[in-house]
Amino acid sequence: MALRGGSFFADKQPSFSCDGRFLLVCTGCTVSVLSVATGLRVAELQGHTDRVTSIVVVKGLEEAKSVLTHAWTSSWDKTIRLWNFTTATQITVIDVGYKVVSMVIPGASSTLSDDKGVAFLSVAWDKEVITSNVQAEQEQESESDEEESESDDKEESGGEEKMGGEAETKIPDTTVIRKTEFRGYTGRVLLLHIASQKTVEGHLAKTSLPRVLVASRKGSFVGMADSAKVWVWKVPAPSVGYCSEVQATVLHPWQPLTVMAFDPTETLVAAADRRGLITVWKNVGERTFYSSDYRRGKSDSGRADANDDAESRTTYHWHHKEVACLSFTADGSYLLSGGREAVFVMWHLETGNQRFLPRLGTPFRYITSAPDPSVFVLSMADNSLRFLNIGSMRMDRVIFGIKPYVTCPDTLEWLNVTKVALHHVHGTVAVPTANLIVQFYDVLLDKHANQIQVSPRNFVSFDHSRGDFGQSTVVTHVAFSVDASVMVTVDLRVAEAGVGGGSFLKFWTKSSEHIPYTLHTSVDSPHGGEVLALAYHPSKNIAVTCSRANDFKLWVQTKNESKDTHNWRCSATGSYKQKRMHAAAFSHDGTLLAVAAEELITLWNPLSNTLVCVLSIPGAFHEVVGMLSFVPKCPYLISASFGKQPQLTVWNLSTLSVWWSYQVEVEGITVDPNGGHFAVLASSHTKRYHKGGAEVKRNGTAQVCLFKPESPLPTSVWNFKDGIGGALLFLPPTEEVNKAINASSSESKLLILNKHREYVIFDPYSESNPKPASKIAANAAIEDALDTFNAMYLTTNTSKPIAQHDQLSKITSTQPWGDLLNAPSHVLPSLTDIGQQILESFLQKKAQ
Amino acid sequence: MEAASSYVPVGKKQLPKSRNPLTADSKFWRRFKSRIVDEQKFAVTCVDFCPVFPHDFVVTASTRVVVYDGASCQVKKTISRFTDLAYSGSFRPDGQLIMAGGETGLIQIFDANSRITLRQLKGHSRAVRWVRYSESDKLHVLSGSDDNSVRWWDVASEEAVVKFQEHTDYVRCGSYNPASPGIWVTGSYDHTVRMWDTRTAKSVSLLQHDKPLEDVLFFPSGSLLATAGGNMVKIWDVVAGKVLTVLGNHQKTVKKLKLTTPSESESRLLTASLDGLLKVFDIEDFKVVHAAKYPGPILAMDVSPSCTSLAVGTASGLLSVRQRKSVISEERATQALEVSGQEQKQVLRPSNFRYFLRGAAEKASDDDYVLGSTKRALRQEHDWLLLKFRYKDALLAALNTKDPTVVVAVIEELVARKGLVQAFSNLEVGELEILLAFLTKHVASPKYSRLLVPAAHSVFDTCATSFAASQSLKQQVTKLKYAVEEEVRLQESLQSFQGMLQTLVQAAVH
Repeated sequence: MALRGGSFFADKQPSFSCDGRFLLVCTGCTVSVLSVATGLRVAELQGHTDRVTSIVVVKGLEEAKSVLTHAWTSSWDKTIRLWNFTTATQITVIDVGYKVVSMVIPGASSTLSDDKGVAFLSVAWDKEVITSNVQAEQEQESESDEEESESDDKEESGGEEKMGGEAETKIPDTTVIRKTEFRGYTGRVLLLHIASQKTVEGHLAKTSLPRVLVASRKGSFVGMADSAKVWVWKVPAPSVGYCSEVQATVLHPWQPLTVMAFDPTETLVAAADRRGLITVWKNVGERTFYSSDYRRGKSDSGRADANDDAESRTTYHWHHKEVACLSFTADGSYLLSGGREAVFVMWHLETGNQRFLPRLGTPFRYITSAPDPSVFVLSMADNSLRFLNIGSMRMDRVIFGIKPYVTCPDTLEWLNVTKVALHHVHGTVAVPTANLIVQFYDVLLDKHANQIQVSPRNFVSFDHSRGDFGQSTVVTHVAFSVDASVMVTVDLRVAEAGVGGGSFLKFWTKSSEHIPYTLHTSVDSPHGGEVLALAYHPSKNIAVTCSRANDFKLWVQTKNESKDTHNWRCSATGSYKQKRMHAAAFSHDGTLLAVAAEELITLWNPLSNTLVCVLSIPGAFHEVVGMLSFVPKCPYLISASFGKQPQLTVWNLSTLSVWWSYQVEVEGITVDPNGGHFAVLASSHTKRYHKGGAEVKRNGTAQVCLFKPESPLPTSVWNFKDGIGGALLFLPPTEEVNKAINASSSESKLLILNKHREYVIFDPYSESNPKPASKIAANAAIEDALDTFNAMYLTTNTSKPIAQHDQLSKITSTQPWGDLLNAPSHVLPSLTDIGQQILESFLQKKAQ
Repeated sequence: MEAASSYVPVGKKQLPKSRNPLTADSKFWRRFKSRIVDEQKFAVTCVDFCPVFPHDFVVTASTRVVVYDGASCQVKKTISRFTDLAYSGSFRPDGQLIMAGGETGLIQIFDANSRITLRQLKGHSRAVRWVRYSESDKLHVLSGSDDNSVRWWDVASEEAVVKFQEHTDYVRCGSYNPASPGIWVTGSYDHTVRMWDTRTAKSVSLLQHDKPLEDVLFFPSGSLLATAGGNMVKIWDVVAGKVLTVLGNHQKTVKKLKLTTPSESESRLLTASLDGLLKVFDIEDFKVVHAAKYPGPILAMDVSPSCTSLAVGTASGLLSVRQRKSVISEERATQALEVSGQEQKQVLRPSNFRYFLRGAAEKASDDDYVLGSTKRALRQEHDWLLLKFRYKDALLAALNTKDPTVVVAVIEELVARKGLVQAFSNLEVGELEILLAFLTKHVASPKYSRLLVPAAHSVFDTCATSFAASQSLKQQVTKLKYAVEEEVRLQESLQSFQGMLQTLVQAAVH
């Protein structure tokens, strides 16, 4: 069986159940029901086949609060569904026909009555449809029906693809089905009769991009912040026949907006813009929504803007960057806002006074009000939900998810960073994240375990308008000793105008159970340049770092006899032909150290610091070996190189020759600690490098291939959606791991992380298993994938898996003597030995 | 649970510990801070400290004998009773009298307070370069002269009691044996050291130094003798008449020897030479423990008996006095205590301000229960400014601390916040000067150069327009340029030195 986890909580706005005991959170294709009291997941609503975009909890009467456990969800899979979230059962599915970006159901109250009201949908509208006529639209509708039936089929076969796991050909990609060029989406706001499950004719608004809808708390208005205007609609009666019947008013702010909110009394509309300015309009829509004699005597002189239907406009400015979320308190006297500064601001609307909760350490995504008027949930960008009590201004509870990847600065794209490191055999992994934090995550329990900030730092948000994208500090490498008593980290500071950049190497030791690690030694700028790779010895306290400054260093823990302390110091440095060193690995018995020196692989004895031998990939002069891994218990070394012709190569170390190779771009390698197998994460499309270094065409799907090193034919292949930028890891088969995934075999389990840090753990060797139930492709899909794999690599590729001797002869080289001299001078045979061959090669060329 | 975390202060930059930290001796001698640097008109030929507190010192240069105050290092008195050059101005052991020899052969004795000439000792036919009072009594003076004679004078009667005439060349130095009164040694340019007993007119023993002698010095035990001649210092066992060790650490003639009195640490031997170096030797193993360089050949040197002041005179007329400041203040405090020691400790009354502060410095005893106090976070000024995102002011606040580790830490923080260029570009002319002065001082230091060299480049890139506007900035830039050039020169010479060494090492290995 497979175990899934690692969802991103803060992607969409969460929603509280009526009684406030549960919090419903969008987690990819599913909705997780979290218990507010414990922070643990109590149920998961599975059924959507694409990302869930919004949740609307059905509100009932006061006395029926705890009984009502229904919620509507909308999704990218063009359906909206009604659920009972305590039993995790699906009640209704409505096909909308469009990808729903946001849905609100104002006054979604009694589901039992026939009169179910209307739903406002903000949908993604294909761009070319706008230009086409009505006929085309109908066509498109029928096509989408087809697509739905397809997705239904998939449901039956149990393929719920939150993470992919679907054969390549089956991906419901718009490009495949419509056979037209996909140019992105515009947005439309539609109205849906829930009772009849039909959309109301026409549309409410067109937007350049799909936007998020907001409903007022009482349910009389629905609003939307578009780039240059605020739409406010009065919720129509369910009997409405045409969209044009819906009363609407538009407010015009000064700047493109990001977010809006209604106050509980429905008299105020707040909206915030990119510059951080919050605008509050008072008495919006008096003229439009209420009868003309309602306020007949009032003149228009005091209005904020003659064109806007609002009485007055007030602005509040403290944020200096865009505001991510706005919310009113239950009594409507305070406005809450949060943005990229990671500061929670509470505005008193009458006076404009502010209260702050600073240094939350990460940007805001959403603020959600709880049934308890003093509690708000802050969804933060580091995948945490924080329950804030605004009375005491303290956090009642924090739920951490697995933290997202760091956005590396553009200048560091080439850096091969550690994405995940096995911390403990019992299923804890370490993941480096933003703000120099290394998070320890229990993948078996899907629970945050601990975290360490590698270097004490304050969170500072950067000004994206000046082109400052990405972090200035990144944890690039993490490594552990086998017993996890020592952690080694490398963090990198990006130089500003050439000042102050460089890597920092840190050694951490485990001191107590409660504190994960304490800093032992810190080495500033261990090399002249950035550190490119880090590896830890399997049995001794030795670490190796490779650098851009063309050398590698061995760091050894030595005992200071007099003080009875341990010191880390550099015991040896090595370099090979002034080549840049991109990767390093220790063999599993610790007697060999492999260091990649650009296109060569050098093997060293780490104990005597001597060069053992040098391996060179035949024909590869411009590629760079970026990954190295030894397979335990057999004499094989795996290397992956990057460049114009990326290559996965398996070396036989007993003959020091290439055993087999593929021309494939590898994202990650992991070896089974039990030996005998290794898995690679390979992207289906070769990156194409332009001069500027940017690559084009990155399909998100990647293949995970399981190999025996003896044979070039993969044992198993899985397609893996969003796998590019992901990572692989073998978990040792401990009892805990087996228990967690209901397996009993003594084989290692494979952990696959995708680029959103969603993961799956399964037994890659089990044949009988109905394959990784939902997230990874079913067993039948393996053959499919194998076929695609064969189609891609085995037939089209020139460098088929061939033995070393054949390969040498087949590779065409610019020099007539081929690769005869492509080896370090000390392993070359003597000139008298090769003289004849060289002369013969000249003769051959002439003969040709 | 983690919530709003508190501000992480920017601490000092932690640097790896130096591999060979300063020895105790280096630390001790580095504590001597330059007090005065005085330009005399002529070469300073002799410096002598008064054995009595406050250790005034007398400096002989040209025809003058100048008395300096030991504490303030200011000129106290100037004696100019010599018609020609004066030599060897020194105190009587009780500090009451000062005597000096002269080019004419006349020895004059003055009252240290009134400067009146009390006695004139006539008899030497040529210059008297060395003259000392007897330390056992206050009545006799021994003098060595360029007429090859050494005379033992009775001061009261102005008569030479004994006249030694065994030296065959100028007598330029001598020393009194502290262990046995009446025994003296003198060193002469005839390469010999002779030991005299003032009760006989003949030398008791003779030591052959092989170089013209510039200084001789008895160790306190009276059995060891240090002699300086040429660039060598020899340590003799006087009883056995054997050389114990030869110190060849100087390049040029060693002019002066001095033993420090063992006050805080063990006694050290100081040697001053014409090569401008002052070296300190451990008298256990005679290894150099510290060295200091002076600008010019050193002719005279002395250390105060309390080992708080070090006075050095050079041939170019420079007089440099260095003092240990902490010791000075301590001494003053003890002096003050001695004075006020008689006063009874007053009972505090409410009329006294300290009455209200009593008990504030009380420490909790072991069995007291200590209530934790909620202290407000102690933040440095640059931390407060960083909190407010005032990057330029934070940088200036760090510069004002004059602590390079703080400045480096703040610059690193600014880089992490991507605010360094902004901070640089906002600097005004006066503030730029502070920054440039800091860079000039620390840019060559290997600890900080990795950060500061690119930072200096960045400053030049961003602030180049301001340089043209201000004359003072131009000067600062020139200074910085010199500092960098100096460092480059040093590196080059080190490299060539390394090259030389390598060939030597290679030659030694094969």
